[in-house]
Amino acid sequence: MNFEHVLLWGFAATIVLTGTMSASLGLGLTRMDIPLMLGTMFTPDRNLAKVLGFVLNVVNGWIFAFFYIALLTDAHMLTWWGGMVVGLLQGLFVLLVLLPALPALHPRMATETRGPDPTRQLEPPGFMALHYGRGTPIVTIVAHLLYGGILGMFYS
Amino acid sequence: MCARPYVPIADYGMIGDCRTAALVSKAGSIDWCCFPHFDSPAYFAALLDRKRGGYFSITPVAPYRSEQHYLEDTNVLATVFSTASGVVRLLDCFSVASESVKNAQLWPNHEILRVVEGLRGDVELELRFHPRPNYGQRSIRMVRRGRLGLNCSDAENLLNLQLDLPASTLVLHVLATGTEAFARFSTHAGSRNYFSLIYDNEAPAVIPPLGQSAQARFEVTLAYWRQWIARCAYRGIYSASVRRSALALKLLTFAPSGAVVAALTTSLPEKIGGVRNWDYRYCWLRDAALTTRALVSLGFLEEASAFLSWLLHSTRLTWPRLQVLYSVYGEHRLSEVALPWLEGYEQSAPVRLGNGAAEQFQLDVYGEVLSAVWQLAEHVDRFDGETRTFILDLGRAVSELWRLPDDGIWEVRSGRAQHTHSKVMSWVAMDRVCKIARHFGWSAPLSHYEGVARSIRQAVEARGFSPRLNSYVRVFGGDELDASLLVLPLFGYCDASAPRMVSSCRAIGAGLSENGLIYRYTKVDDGLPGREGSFGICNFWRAENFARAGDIPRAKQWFERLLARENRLGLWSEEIDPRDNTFLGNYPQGFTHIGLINAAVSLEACQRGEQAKAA
Repeated sequence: MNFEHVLLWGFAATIVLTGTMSASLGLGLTRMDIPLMLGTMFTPDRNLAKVLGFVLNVVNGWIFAFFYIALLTDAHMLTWWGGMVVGLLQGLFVLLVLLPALPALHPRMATETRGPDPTRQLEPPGFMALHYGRGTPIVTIVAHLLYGGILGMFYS
Repeated sequence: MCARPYVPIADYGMIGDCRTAALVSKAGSIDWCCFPHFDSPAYFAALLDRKRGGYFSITPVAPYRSEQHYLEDTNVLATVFSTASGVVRLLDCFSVASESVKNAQLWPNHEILRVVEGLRGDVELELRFHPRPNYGQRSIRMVRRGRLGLNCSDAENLLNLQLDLPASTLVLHVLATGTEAFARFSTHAGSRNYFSLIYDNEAPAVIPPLGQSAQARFEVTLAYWRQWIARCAYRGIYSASVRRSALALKLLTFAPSGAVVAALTTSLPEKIGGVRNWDYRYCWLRDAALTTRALVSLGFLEEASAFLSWLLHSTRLTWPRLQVLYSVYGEHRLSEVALPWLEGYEQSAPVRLGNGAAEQFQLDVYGEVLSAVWQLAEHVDRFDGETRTFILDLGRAVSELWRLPDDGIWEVRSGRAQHTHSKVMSWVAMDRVCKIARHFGWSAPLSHYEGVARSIRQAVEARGFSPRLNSYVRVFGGDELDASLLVLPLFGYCDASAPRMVSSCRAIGAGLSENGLIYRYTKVDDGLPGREGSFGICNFWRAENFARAGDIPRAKQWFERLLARENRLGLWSEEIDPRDNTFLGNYPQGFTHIGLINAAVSLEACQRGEQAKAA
């Protein structure tokens, strides 16, 4: 495994993923803000949370890049479409498993069963994060396809 | 299927858990309940179709008289049935608890707990359980599960009814169709029976025990509501009605996101037999400022913060443009469809889902949202960068949009116009954005915004006031009165004692009222056939105008005349028929309760010689 290349393209792919999500936020396709969600696990300060969340997101992206490359190399699928297949699987995992389970893990996220106590917390994402807008599943899948595609195409 | 008469709207009580709620009639029948959320499909919708809708009733077999009341300072509803042979009390509630209690034990996702207490003599009762998924469109097959009761599965959704009856008295049938169950049982003085209906969409569902465990949940529920209302800081005039309104408003809040729905129901008609039937199970931004003011003035800052947080983030998908309404999770596409299989309350068709008003352009929402933000600004240290951008973008949007015609606060379907109320609320938007920016020391084109505010005021005073009527008028250059103009002093646009406002209040009272109740408007083509009832909140706005103008005796007289029209539970619908005081429109209606709270708080302040706060 080329360590430097994983770091380089892992970073590039993460930036594209984050940029895609942020652009979707600005275009009104989704309300999901991944840096905010990650950062508020550690601080209630929204401004600080976004910065912290961005850093955590990049670190996550690097870590996942190693898994992607290991998997793609082992499966002899180190191509753009191979990366996209893994990206699709990860996107589906995030939407179907991770995000619905997030309220149980996130210290500042309300659960679907909260009430009557009012929430001063983040609203829960719901199934496929649909509570954050109907476009959220598509945006999440597209972002992960790009992430995987970049790693598969440019890593050598 | 059992055809039963429709129950008057005022004869329903509300129970809930701040995620969904149910209406229980004086006959002991749950005729409206959606699971898992307010705007989810209904399992009990007999309210909108007595034959197909589905219900869950516990009612004496013999002829009876019944009365309803809430247990003091709670949202636990008591229905007392008196028959020739005895008296029995039915207690209804959703079991609720604080998050800490729920985290310490397995608590059902949603549970309607019904407790039957024998008070005197012997009474034979009949239980009928007939859930019908998707607003009565489908049947649901029941399966006996022994001591676990009746199990009804509908895709991923589960309803489970447990009955706490001695085997010797239980005569339970799942009817031939397998979709309806009934039981007959007797009570005697001192007897106590529990019935637990749970809903869950996760497996395994929590099916809580009955008996002592049910009694414990019931007591936790009582304690929860009493502790919650004990936080109410208001101790002034009409305190009982204010506290009941606060409890009703609390039941209309959606705790997971902080949203407040306009009403519990869809399509209760504004005119019996008419087509003015709308879905109000969504959150209107229009209600924002007045809701925030009500919550803050009563001391419920946590609920006010949660609501503002929802408001700021639910609107994220449409920034900086604001839509009129959003779902409890901020969904903005709420297209309107009819449910043809339901006949509607008292044959008032169509029954609608979604709300076409979501696509309207209403300028006033900007003023209402910014006003809500300003009210909470003094209770927070600072807003984050994203919120600051949002607030300043709203100001910029209004400065660009205020000259456009809009659909207006009442969501008429007859086209856009230059509504005076919308222009005034645009002034409020400019005023509040300047105040917020100054308060937090933000950099913003304040002199430009102040110039826009001056231009709006000039336009309103020049074209929104009719010297002939001696009143502000519905649209620029028009000659129609509109009760929405009663809010001008409430938002601080002018003083209630200003000559133009006093004469407007008088003109609106004279021109829009019937039997002491005010219509929103009359003689206006709103694009729909038929005429509606008097609009609840407008009447409280008038009382508040009197109070703010210093006419306390008249404000009290007007307020008390209104209170005489609330139902025995202290609940209000959207509208009232001035001819016979029949409740009309969706119910219970948060907007009317908000009007009551704000009017009482202002009256109390003015009575003490203090200045009432602006919304």
